[in-house]
Amino acid sequence: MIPRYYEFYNPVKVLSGENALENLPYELEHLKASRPMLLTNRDLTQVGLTGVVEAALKGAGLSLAARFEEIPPDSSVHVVNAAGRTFREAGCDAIIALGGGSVIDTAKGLRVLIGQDTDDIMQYMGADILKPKRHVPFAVIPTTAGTGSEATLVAVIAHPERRVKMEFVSHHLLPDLAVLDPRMTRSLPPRITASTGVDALVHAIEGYTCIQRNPLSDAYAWAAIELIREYLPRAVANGHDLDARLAMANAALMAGAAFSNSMVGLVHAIGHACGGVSRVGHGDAMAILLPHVMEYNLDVLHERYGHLLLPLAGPEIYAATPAKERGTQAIAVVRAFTQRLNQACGLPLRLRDVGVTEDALPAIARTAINDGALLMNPKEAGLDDVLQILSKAF
Amino acid sequence: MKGMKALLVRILLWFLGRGICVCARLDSRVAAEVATWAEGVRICLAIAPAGPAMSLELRSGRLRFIGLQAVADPGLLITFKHLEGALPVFLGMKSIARAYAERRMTLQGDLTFAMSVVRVMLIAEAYLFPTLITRRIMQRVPHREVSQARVYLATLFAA
Repeated sequence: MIPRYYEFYNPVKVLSGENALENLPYELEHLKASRPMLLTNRDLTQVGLTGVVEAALKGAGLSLAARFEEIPPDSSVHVVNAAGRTFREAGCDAIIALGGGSVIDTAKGLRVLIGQDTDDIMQYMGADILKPKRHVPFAVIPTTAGTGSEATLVAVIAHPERRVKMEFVSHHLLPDLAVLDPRMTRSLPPRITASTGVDALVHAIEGYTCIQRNPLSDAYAWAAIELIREYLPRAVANGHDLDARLAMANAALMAGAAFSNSMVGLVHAIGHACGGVSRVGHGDAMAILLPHVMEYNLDVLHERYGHLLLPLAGPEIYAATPAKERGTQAIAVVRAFTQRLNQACGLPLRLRDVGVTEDALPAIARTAINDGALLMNPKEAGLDDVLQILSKAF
Repeated sequence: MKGMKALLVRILLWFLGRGICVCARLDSRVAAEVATWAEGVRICLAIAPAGPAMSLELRSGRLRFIGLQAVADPGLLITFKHLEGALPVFLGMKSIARAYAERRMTLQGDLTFAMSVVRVMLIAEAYLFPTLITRRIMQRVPHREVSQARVYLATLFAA
């Protein structure tokens, strides 16, 4: 059924595949950028990825005007402000983000800071309120295949003093360029490959089922799930399988584009809370919670989950499953998929396995019901519902 | 016609604003939500580009209806992009979640706080709209702790 009204926006130019990085200088030139600033973290420099990017730029006669590496796993407004000072002092005119979710969120925050010509991004938190005074060319080179942040309009940046996780939702946060180069994810360990890959799977499944879904986001979500089914186990088994790495980078981007337009739901609402209260890694929380939330949503989403059995399990299983059982079967397939990854690399399957204590569950539930993603879930969930899901996942 | 719709939205905003304040006194769930809000916080609901607006303020622990006007520097500003997008929400034909999903509104402020405000609005709507309407836009209609008539009377005369 087509929605009576929807919006879809994805202007990101995708450079995907062999030597994709080498095309970056050409694209930056077309964006009238000549003094880019690179945002990354020290770990990525130490494993040599920053050097690969710099070499690709130098090959076309372009050098970095500044490099900013002090980005922790959870970015904050202070990191964004520090990056802003570096950007202005060095006279930069473009942003290149090399990294995972934290680096990309920091880069999005920096783009707000520079684009709005402000010293305080807090006044711009919210949804659809950005009106940039200038366009800051922005390229993202993801080094994980999961967040899909290179194709999303969302950024989350902490304000430690005010104890606020500032959320920014605006199509002005979407990068101009996403560079998917398989060299960038090759060194990712199996365990992180699995958890980030499942994060992408959750983006796709929630993107396909949340209330803002539309035919275009459906297409992205569907294609992402097919790729994840086939290539995530391969990428976990052999990190140097560049076909699998590239396929997963594409899947993560497509899942990101899907959920950027249809938003995510209850898995993310509870997952964010698990991260905030008990420091559970985002991908781990997604892997643990996904089947339990699917079970909770099943009565409302039986038909949609039934559709998803096809990309999740393939045509043979889909055809052999009676229509009325497909929704339930889709959950069983997801559960088997995460169990397979658990056996392959230790992907956790229970909250107790990632340091959550039983007495923390009420606090997680209270935090979850304040998460904006809850509003987008097709089935309403209250405190007691979330507590029940958490108990099952514990 | 547009003037009539704007007038209708002004009336509905007046009811909603005062109704929320009444619920903050009479409904324990709304009272509990409001108790978590920062003292002095102001919430503004507005229609762009220059349509009607309504504002609330938490002052001395009590939620007050400031009037049909926008306020400077609100803690949360919800702005519908146009009158046509706002009308179905205030008439109870569309849920606030659906309107947000359709990107009918912009939101300035802390989204976590916005979730609390949305929960309050949902409970207030359960009092202000007939069950026939709320059942259509909500999966779970919040139960009424006090009678609708009491909330209506207080909304009209003692908000």
